[in-house]
Amino acid sequence: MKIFPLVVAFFLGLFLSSSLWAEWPDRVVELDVHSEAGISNNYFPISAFFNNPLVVDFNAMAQTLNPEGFTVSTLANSQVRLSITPTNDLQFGLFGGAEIYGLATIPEAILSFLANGTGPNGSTSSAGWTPQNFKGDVFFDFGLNAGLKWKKWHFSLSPTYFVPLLHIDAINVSYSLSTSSSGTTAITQATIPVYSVVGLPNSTSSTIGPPQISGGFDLTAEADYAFYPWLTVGGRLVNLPLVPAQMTQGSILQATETVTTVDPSTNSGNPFKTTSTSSWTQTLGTISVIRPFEARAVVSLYPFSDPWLSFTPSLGVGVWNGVYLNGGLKMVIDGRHWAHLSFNSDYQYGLWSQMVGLGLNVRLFEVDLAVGGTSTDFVQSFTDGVMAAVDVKLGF
Amino acid sequence: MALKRRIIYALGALSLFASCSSPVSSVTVKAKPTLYASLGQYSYQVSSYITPSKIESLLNSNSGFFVYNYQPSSTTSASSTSIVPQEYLLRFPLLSVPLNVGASLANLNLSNSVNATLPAQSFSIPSISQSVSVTNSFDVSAVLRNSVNNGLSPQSAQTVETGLASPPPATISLPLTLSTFSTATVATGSLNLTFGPLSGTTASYTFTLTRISLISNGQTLSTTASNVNLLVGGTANLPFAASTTLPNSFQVVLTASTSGGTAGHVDTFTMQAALSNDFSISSASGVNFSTVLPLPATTLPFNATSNFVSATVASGNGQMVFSPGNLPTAWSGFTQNTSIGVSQTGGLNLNQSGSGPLTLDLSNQTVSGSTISLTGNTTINAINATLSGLSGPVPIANSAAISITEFSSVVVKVSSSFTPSVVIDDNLQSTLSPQDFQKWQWLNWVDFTSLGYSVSFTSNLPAGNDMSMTVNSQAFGVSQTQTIPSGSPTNPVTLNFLSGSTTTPYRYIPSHNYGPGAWVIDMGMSLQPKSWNPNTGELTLFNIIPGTTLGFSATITPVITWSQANLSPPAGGYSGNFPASGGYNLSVLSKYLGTNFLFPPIPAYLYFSGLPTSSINGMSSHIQAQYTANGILTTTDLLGTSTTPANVVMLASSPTFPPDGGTVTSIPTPSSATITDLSPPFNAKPADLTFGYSMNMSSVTITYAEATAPGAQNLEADLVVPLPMQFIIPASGASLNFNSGTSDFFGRTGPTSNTVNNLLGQLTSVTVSLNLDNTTGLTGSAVFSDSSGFSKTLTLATGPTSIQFQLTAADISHIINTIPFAPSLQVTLNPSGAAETVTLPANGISGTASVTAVADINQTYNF
Repeated sequence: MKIFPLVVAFFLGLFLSSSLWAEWPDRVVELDVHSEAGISNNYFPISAFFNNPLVVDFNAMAQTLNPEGFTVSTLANSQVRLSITPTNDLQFGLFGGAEIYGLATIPEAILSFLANGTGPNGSTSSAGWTPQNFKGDVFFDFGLNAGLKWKKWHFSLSPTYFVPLLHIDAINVSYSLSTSSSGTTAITQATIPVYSVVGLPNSTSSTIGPPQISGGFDLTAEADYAFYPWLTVGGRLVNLPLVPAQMTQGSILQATETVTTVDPSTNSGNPFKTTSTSSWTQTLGTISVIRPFEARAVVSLYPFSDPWLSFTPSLGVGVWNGVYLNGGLKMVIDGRHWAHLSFNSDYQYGLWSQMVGLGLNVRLFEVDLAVGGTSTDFVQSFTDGVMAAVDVKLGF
Repeated sequence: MALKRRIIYALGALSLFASCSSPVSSVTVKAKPTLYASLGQYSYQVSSYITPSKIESLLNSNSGFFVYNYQPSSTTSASSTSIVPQEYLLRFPLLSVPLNVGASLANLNLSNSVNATLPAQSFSIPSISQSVSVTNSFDVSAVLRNSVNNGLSPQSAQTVETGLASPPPATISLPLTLSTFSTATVATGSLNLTFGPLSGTTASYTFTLTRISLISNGQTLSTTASNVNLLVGGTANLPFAASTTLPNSFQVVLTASTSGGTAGHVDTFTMQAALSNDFSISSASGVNFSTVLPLPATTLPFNATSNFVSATVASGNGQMVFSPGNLPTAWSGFTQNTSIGVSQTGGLNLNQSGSGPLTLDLSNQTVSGSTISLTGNTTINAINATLSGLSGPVPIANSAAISITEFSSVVVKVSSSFTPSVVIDDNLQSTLSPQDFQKWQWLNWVDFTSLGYSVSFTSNLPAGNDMSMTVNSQAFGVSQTQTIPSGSPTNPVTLNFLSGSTTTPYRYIPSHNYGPGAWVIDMGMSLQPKSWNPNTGELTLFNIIPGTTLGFSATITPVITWSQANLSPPAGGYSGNFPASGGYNLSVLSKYLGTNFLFPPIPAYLYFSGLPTSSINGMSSHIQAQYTANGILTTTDLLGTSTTPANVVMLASSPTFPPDGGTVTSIPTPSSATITDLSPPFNAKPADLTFGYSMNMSSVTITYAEATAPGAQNLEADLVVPLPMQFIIPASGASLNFNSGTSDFFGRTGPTSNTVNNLLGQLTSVTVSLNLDNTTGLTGSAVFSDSSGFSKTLTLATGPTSIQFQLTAADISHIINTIPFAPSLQVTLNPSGAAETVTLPANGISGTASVTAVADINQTYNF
């Protein structure tokens, strides 16, 4: 009964005493575990997933989501990093982790069909999926990092070896619906090339083969220059591909489904006649895979020429099965490194995210938490989707 | 404590918050789509809706009339419209008189009736030739033991009391002599002694045996200690050691301890000796006995078939031999004598005895189908005999053999349907239907160049089994008896019982009374076997070898060859009704065509064909329709009248028509003037329409060649009616009913057919659009309804037209809850206007159908 207060008092004393060194900018030895995950959609607010029932009103969705359609995306990564900072100007370390990128879209035409039906005789509607609105990647990476401060310059470099675990290549999926005097017909055709480190079934073999690993190299680099105490200008390259990874095991999932309305009395009472095929039909060759990468220019403003308040706008381009304009604005209120509060609005690979972060640093360990919303729509990104990040650092 | 409590409170509050913010567990899907679906193209072809087979089924499919699709090359309709009606041709075969009188005669099947009385006969004669072993067992030890024991009787002995308290042991020696043998070597067993109590003892005297011994010539054969108190008596057992040589005479020495008594007082007791039941010997000499060994019950079964009754053994062709078994050759002094009996229920019964093999002569003995039994015994006498080597009972292997090589006669039972003598009188008036007899009445006489029966007789009976056959037929001029030889190498034997010849034909007049009566064809056949008992149904065959299968069969076929025949209608003319029974039910047309439909004038055509036109010297006919209209039997003359028949001609060749249901493209030239209007009986829609007909003509003589020429085998009369699908619709209108039956319109089989129900349940309204192309010329309204209140009305117009009708939520609910939903379509034509003639073309109504459904989906799914 007496031990619990003593333990609490011991750690409080330890943290309070260690926090006296919190203002020191970097730990000499640091173990950093970082996890981040988010799933977004551009229609349902996060609160909808905590109310029963979840109402899926296709008419409302079709009206609201015209013409972009309903998009669901997911992003997750987890990384463990070990850093050593022998001096205030030099840092190096190593890291390893995994990343998941995924995005899928239900075209507005399908939402409109579900909401409004087929239309009168002679109506047609169609939709298609492009590599930009249906894609997915899973990577494993491992790398080194080094940082250097020299006068007003700061450089960091992270060469990374990455292995793609799963890659969905350029898909070709289409849907069409037509009404005519001979029947209403909906046809869906999908060709989805899928690559994996393990063998996928194909037309001649359904066995799963051994992993085929042929990773690639890319580089993450960052440089900035402190022109004034209130202004720092820099840029960063994230996942700049140097050597693409090779994936040799892929198959095309080919599927078609045709639904035609018929006289139910001629079809055992069923007004729909369905024909469908689904098979892995072709073994693919070797492709080169790179990770999504971006280049951004970053400007950090310190209105009081002090780190306790900063504004960091950024702008650049991103490449992930297409070219995106990436950018953002981040505000940080730093309480002498003991605690910090951040607001980050970002647009990356077509997704808006709004994050609020809170950090606590007692030198021996530091915890940073961030939560927010994400969506393809800027306004809805404040209310829709969910993102969360946890960063725990241990060291001294 | 306070801090800890606060931490616990904080964790509890966090849990409560988490529980209040549980993730979604149900999803409600909402949508209000409008769905358009085409139900495809459809077509109601009049030609497929009204088919020849359906017309036959509706009117009377059993009446023998024919319906064809009639597709004339040019429109024969009087209608001024350009619509070509769907048309049918109805053919009523009023008359068909076969001209091949020989075939008609053959069709009487008289020979079949006779053949039925002479089914093929087959008899399996059993084989009797077999041997059996009859082994009996000779237990010499048992015979000897019983003989010895029977010769032993109780012996009486005495003892003298000493009066002493402890005198020396007393010894009593009793001689014992065994009969039956001189010496025997004991294998097992003992001698049992039974002592009776001492009689006359004084008080206090005791006498107890302490040892008993069998002594022979100073040698102890057996000894045993004893404690038998002779005051009360007792038993003692003296076992023999194996291989003990037992003489037939020895001493039984008793040693006893005594006390007390009165000195000098004499007491007596008895001793009975016997060999034990397990006493056996291995050898013996000087044996004397006589014993009888019964033979085990033995049977001699043989495969007597059910039709075998009995047989007599031919002289010198059957015997039974019994061979007694031998005793061991080392034995001497034994003799055997055997006595056997052979018996059989209803058959063999012989006895014989003697030594050595016995032979029973079976000549002239009767053998029945029962099992043969063998009984008897063997008497063995031993006189100063010697035997050895015994180890148990000795088997004596006797054997018996029976052999029969020929029966002088065999009695068999024929099948129950076998009737060797039959007389058939076929009265055509009573055995034929009136219609068929009326056709016979056309026949005045027939000249036959050969008439009668041919008998094919097949037999494998041996010589000595000749039969004869007699055929009598006064009508056919046949009365003959012929012999059927047996043992003939020619098989089958053909016998002809015929009348007439090419030079002197036999003239048969069907109406003549040949004895049994007019119109009677008599036929008598008799098969006479050599020995036949009609009371028992048993047939006796002769000179039969056992083990063979015998039989015979006779097949009678008619021989009918005619040269010419004379025909004429029966006296007073030939008349009849078609169909002969029942009628055509036209009332069913009202079910499909309504009651207000009327047919426009319907022509009809009459055809006569089959007879050579050159032989016909004038023909007339009268055709009329008979039906009940409004409860009144109505007769409408269609051709001529009853008093003034219309002249008709015999067509040179018969009109040809395709198989029933086929297509006819033109109407042949008829035999008479066109019957102008058959519509009155059709419009009366009676349930009993029949056609009456009559015809007259002079007699005609036709030859066989004329009667059997292609296409002229029958004298035929046909009434042919072209029936276009044209109707007169009165000003008051008419209606057509299309009933979809009892099947669910959506193909549902029951309440579990939820696929359609779930879809229907999400609908708020359904609009059905029909794009019709009505080429029928029918106009009016169509009501789509079922028996439980569902009703939708459409307007029917000619040519291409679009029709829509809407199903409300209530209608949809009705359809969901009504299984089967089987609506019918009633088309009301010409609801207001003047009378008009409508024509149904072959192609009818075609078009497309589509459905536009408005759904209100509000479905919740729970995880």
